[in-house]
Amino acid sequence: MLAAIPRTFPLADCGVEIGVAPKSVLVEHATVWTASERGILNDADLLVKDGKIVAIGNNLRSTLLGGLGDTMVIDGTGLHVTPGLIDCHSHTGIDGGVNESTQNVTAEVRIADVLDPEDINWYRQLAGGLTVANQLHGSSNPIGGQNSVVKLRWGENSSAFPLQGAIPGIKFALGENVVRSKNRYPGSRLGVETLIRDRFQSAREWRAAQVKYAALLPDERARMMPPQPDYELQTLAEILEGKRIVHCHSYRQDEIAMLIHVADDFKFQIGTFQHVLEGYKIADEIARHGAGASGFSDWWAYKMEVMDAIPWNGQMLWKAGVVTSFNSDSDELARRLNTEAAKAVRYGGVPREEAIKFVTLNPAKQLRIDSKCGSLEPGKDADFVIWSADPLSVYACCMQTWVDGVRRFDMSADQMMRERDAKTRTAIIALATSEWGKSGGGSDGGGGKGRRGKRGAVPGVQDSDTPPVDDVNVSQGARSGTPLLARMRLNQRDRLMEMVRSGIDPAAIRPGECGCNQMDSWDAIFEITGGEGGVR
Amino acid sequence: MMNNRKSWFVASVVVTITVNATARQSSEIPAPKQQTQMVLRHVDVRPCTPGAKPIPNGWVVFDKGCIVALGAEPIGLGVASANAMEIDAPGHVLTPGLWASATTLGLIETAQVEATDDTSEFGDFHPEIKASTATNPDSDLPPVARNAGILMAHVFPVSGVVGGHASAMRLDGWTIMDRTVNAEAGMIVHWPMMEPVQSRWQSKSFDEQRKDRDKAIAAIDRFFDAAEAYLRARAADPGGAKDARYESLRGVIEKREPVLLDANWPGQIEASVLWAIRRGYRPVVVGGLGAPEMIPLLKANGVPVIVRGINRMPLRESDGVSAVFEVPAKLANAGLNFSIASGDEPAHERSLPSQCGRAVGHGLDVNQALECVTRVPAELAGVGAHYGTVAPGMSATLVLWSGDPFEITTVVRRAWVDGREVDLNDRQTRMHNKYLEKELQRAPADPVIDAPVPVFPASVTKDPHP
Repeated sequence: MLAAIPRTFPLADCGVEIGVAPKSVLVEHATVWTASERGILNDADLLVKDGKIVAIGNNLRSTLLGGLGDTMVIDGTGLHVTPGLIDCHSHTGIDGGVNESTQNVTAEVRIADVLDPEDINWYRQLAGGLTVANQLHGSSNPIGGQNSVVKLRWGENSSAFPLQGAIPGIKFALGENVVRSKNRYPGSRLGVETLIRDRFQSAREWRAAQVKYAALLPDERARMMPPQPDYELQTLAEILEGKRIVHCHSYRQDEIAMLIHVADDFKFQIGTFQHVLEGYKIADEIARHGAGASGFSDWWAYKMEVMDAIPWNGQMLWKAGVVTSFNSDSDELARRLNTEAAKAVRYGGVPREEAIKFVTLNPAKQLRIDSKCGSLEPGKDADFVIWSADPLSVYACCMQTWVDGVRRFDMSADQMMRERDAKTRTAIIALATSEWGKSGGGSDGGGGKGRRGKRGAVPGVQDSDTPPVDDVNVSQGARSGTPLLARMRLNQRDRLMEMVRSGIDPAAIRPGECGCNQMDSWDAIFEITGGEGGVR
Repeated sequence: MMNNRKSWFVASVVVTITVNATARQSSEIPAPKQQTQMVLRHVDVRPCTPGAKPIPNGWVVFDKGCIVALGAEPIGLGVASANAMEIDAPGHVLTPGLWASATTLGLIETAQVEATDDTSEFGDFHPEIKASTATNPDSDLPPVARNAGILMAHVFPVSGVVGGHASAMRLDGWTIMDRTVNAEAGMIVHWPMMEPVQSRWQSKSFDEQRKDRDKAIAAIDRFFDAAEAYLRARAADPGGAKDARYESLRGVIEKREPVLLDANWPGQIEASVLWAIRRGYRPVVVGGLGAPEMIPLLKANGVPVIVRGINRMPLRESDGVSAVFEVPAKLANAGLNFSIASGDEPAHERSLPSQCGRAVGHGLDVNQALECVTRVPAELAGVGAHYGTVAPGMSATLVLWSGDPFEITTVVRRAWVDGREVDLNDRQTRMHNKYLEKELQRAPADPVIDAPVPVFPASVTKDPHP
């Protein structure tokens, strides 16, 4: 029976069995949003070979010497093609905590160390056209951890995700979040500045000592202690040397100005201001310094420091000459960044061909990957998305997402995969209720001990990183449930087990058939199969 | 923003609005009662009455706060009075004012500043509280929502198990008296999770969770048992002592007021709806992401659903990537009565139209989608007789859009609540205008003003790193 379970990676929902990676792909007669100087091309073709874009133009079929051969041809009539979308502020696929909040400076920690390639949200975001994400550390400390820029190579392991060539980065944070801790310096925006200056000064002196030591003659070196390695100061020294860029969580204009002044004094350029909600108040200064701006399109009012946020922020920064992008900061929003770009049109009238760059070319520039990604131009990586309609329209659905010429999401393949997964679930449950049940094995202890306690271990049982608001506990003593519910539970278990044993997928069982619902069904199964602490 | 000219062309809308916004930096002023009859001409009218088709080239007359008549162009002679103010708006769309359902608009200003938060009350059972009591008329949030065409709100308190009365509110008016349409527009019941949860935040075993759940359900039952007993006792002895908590459940027990069952998961929906039916109440499911799995139950009992947001993750990993986007279409195909709420923070209610659009992109009929944020929510808030459609005799609560109401790029041009024109400025337009002024003053950049201020420590600037 185990043979019926396909060997996918991840070995879970939407796992990949065999990737779709044709040698060449030709999309014909589509509306192509190049995010380049060529703007939006009507009735155009896109030709991809060996994972790279070869050409964009008309009648590319005729340029193929030797005919189509094994080229995969996609009829793009009525469809739209954009570059793969890029999220410059993501916390997706970070396993084991986004924040290291015990200290005010944690430059030594690295998001890349906890990259989870099996997070289902990668796949969900591919289904929204996302191809690149800037995985950032959280905002609990003024100087946070090192970032990780990845391509959404769903179906590969964690070593395949990092985007080679992206400049290393680090998360900084200002404002309310970093001064929230009651027992740790800094406690105000004033202290944030002095802390950051102090650490940069130390990093500079540490590096100078290293350089000095390296320049010594061997016998001089032998007579003295070498400077101690310091992963924190080394990381900060890389910023001063221009080898690493700062992505700084920021809200109010004064804190943005402060960090610009610090950077000016220490002679480095800030990579991006993240969120940058009051960036519009100081857009000229950000433009002068040369930092990028990566913001929410229109979030506001959730904190005191964000009461002045306005949705025109992106357009005003863009108009001032700042490289501007819209990001998600959310596993969910990252699935629909295309319509975030539409808000640059709504608020301030950014032209559509420029607005699409807010989620493609501009974040690519901010991550210094624009020579590879961010626009549809010959020589660049074949990261592209096929949409059912104008990508700035709320009616548009993502039909296919390609990363490096590999099809990582396809609407119709997705449907087949879902049917496959439903069968897999049935097979596993049948197995669990027959062999494991008889032998007394197969119990994993249940409750919280599954794969990272997060998902997968007990299929169908709700998984969530945040407590559901619906979960209420009432302290008063009580009867053990209403008679109605007791009866429901009793009936459902008998009926359900009968159906599962006859090979029916519990997911397919509907109310009316067994008088219960899917979730309660799972519940019943695990009571019987020992999903929670032993076989009964 | 009344205009004195008799004929008023849309071509001048942008100019008029901009001038007004800059001229008036104060907060938004509620307009007086409608004085002049209004006629909207050559507009794409979306009546939102059951089964009604859009009128692509239509007209609407409203007077004294109510809609007088509507139809397809040309308008008949004498339908509008001679001194009516006319707005000719070809290419524009006219809809009823949208509803923000299951929202906390007005109850909270800044989510993380506790002093601004009136969404929650102590204890598990506080049915006596009413949302209308503290919907701050001068909150900065509703005017922002109005700029997305949201003119009405079904406001929910969010705490407790039996959580209090939701209220139907206008998002325009000087006082809570002006704004309240129906103070007791449903009793909120937060139904417990039926299935145990396995997650890193949940330390309790499955058995403990089940025991908690059963206790919670028993407590709900006990509470309503007591309320019913109290009402019987009061009927028998009207002179007896009054209990505000039990008294506030009178509407629910007498079936005048629905129970708003907060339930997303199929198990919650099933158990809560069966509970309400057994007790003889009128259930409305709020949340409802799992409703597609409970269609026979909901349909057989005519239970409406408020789908609280589709910009959210699927309930389970095994659900399709678009599972939530498809919920409205699935409910529609099954013939269920449902509305759509944003499910977003009150500051972000403006995502509502685009969420409807996304539901349309995933199979929902476009006209039905509009009814889901106009007529249906008005009915579920108990004020469907006056709000939610463009029909003769209904309140002239209307939005004039620059185009497709669901597209993000569309702008609200004008809006009326009970015939009173709404000031479409808000805190955000004020900040925008303020800093446009800075752009004007500072262009081109002034090297003196923009130079970095001297900073500590001085040695840093003198001794740059080599």
